[in-house]
Amino acid sequence: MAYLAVTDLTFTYHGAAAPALTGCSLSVEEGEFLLVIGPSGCGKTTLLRSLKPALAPYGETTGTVELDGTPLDRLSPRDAATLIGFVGQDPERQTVTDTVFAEIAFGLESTGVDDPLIAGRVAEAAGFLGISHLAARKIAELSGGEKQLVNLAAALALRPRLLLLDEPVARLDPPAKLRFLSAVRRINEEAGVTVILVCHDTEELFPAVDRVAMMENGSIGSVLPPREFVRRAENGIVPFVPTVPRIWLLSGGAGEPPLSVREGRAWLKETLGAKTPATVPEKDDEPSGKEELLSARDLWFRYGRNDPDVVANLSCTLFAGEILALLKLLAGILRPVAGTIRYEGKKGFLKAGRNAIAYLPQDPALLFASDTVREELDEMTSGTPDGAAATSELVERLSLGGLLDSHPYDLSGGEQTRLALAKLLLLSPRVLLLDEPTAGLDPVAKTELCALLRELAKTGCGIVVATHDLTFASETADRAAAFFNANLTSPADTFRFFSGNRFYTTQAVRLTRDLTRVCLTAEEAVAAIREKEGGTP
Amino acid sequence: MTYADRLHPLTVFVFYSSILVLTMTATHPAALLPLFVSAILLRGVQIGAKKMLAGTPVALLLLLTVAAINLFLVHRGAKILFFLNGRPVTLEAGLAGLSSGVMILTVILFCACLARSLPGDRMLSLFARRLPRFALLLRMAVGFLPRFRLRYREISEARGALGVASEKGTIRKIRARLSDLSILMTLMLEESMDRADGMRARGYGLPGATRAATEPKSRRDAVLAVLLILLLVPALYPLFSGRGDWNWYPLDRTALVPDLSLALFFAAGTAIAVLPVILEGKETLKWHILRSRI
Repeated sequence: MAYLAVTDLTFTYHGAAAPALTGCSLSVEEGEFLLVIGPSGCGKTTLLRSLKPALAPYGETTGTVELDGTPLDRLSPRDAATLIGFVGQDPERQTVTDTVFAEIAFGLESTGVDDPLIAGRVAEAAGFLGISHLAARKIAELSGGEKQLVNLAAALALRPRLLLLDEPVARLDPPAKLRFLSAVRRINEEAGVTVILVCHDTEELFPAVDRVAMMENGSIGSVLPPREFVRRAENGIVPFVPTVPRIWLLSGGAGEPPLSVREGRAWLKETLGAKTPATVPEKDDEPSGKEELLSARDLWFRYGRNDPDVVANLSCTLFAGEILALLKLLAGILRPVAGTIRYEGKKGFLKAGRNAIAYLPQDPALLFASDTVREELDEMTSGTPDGAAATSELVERLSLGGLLDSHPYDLSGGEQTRLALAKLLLLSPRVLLLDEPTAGLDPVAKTELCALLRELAKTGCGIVVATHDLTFASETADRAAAFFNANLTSPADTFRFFSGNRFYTTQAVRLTRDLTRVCLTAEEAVAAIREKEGGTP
Repeated sequence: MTYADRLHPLTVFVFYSSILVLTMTATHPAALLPLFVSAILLRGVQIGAKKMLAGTPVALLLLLTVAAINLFLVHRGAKILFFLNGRPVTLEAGLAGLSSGVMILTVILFCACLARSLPGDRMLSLFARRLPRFALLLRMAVGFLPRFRLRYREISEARGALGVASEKGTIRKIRARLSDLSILMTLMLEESMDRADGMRARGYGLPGATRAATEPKSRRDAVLAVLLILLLVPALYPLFSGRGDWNWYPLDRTALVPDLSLALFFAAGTAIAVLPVILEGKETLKWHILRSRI
């Protein structure tokens, strides 16, 4: 008997025409670690929420969900609250109180744990996750990663036996991501808690989980152990397979699919034989002969007089028609404390507006003021002569056609990014600044965004992207630089930047270093492997 | 680390409340003056002489303003200093004003000391047991404010970069601000729905909720509570018997020095105010000595 048994679950949101979940069946053993992947809007969140009575969405349900033999709707509210833990995507939106202690204690107080025991349970959860030192801190002062660990501790303090995690690391930077995921692994391995995790960052997770479930269009496809999952992956699923096994898959590898870089290198060495000395072709750092679009000289910035420098002595140049990937860049609206910025050769501060510089914030929803997508776009074109034509062309290009009458908040993450981008593009900007545009996007949406940005760059637009997503940067950018210690370090063209780094680089580079020619992306790696296999008899 | 940090918030709260009641009801100069001196000493121990000196001009200004208002508005009293617009300006009115000023200053100083000895969250934990819902609401509001501010900044920056705010004309600017605010409201409503989910997910609303008491009680609290009660009975006696009443009009110099029994009652009141000075002072001294030994 499985610990969690979902049988033929079909769910239709109240007032919706089509069901969000159709005939979902799933059985999860006690202590299992299940990863759920799939494109955004495929019903992952709906499925996860249906597994926790307090969060069950409002609508029509058929089919059954049983936890340890008891149907969910017959579980007492107290058991439902304690046995099933839930952590969602946005760390900001889940905290209730003001201090870390009160936050972790909140669930214990609500479920009526006796006062003398509460402090001990809070200490246990915080200690296990290594955040005891934060107990007295104010939540508002914590970083996103710390907040998310507090949310996890708050769920853990209730001693759940099933943990539901809905894209918990989508908004975290890579170190915080790894820390959170390793905490989840420990909860699973050391405490035997059953975990169901919805996540787009599969790179680190494939080696760790027991099984992977693929969801598409509201139904659960194959639920298989990771290696089996890779082996049987078909066309539509391939983009969701992490880089290393994807390279194995696409180059027609034999034997067991590798899941980690280490396994991947062992497989490559066996397949290709002798090492190839790394040949890094020489390229100029700064492309010559291009029009200088935006340049900064000796910039300094700090938020308050006595705060530390956020930007110190920074200089950089953006050329027309290129994409510059800046990892964590301060851009746009703030005035530097010292230094100059030249825009098209003219001195002056960054000025927002038509035909100039546009900025896409990390949370695109910040830009939405109207009730429908159509009104959002009209807001930008009011008072311009051929606004309607420009709008309909953009709607076509960004495939927003079917969404014109939706509320901007009802769009998925990828759709929101596209709409925000459309608003910015209606200003026909020469420079586009993007802050973490890939947060929460599924692999398909990322590829679309990448193609869109490349196309924009071809039209002569300069683009600056601040991102933690190295794969995205390597596929999209012309030049890359790391933001470290309030300045840019090692700016170089993307190829040199990523091939020169050993750790802070893409999975494909880590996999192929010294074994084939250096490859930044999975596609290049596959080509290189094929080439070499063909070359050696 | 202060001494009050090691006490239960209730002890600290009751102690300061007693001192504030004694100060506000003290009319006799012989009762008020020792309280004023202890207030200065306690604040001095808490923030140091340098900051006390920096605050002196403001305090003096307040004192003199209150005194001057009384001096020129009240015309009772026997000792006439001079006439202003044909009305007498008396010594008594000046002294009474000075006394009110000292009283107000003492209350302000003790309130500042209380705020330092009992920061907001410890004060809040006092009510948590009696009024759990109110306490939770307050905690949520306190947690909410910084988020609200941050979100507003993000929105106005992002919209500003869109070129919406840089439009010319006051009405257009106001309209841009208003739409910033409307975005903020929509976002906050969205967030609060998620937050409500988070609360329900963790069992909020189940019957039989408990409250965590993060504040331990110690023997120190018991000893101080007994001491406070022992001192409070004689200290409040002059107030209830009416013996401690003081009238500035007319000034009776002989009554300025209280007789022995009244002096003892006043001394009990002073002792309540001096106790924190000794405890906190000892703490500060201890740290000084510990540091000088390193």
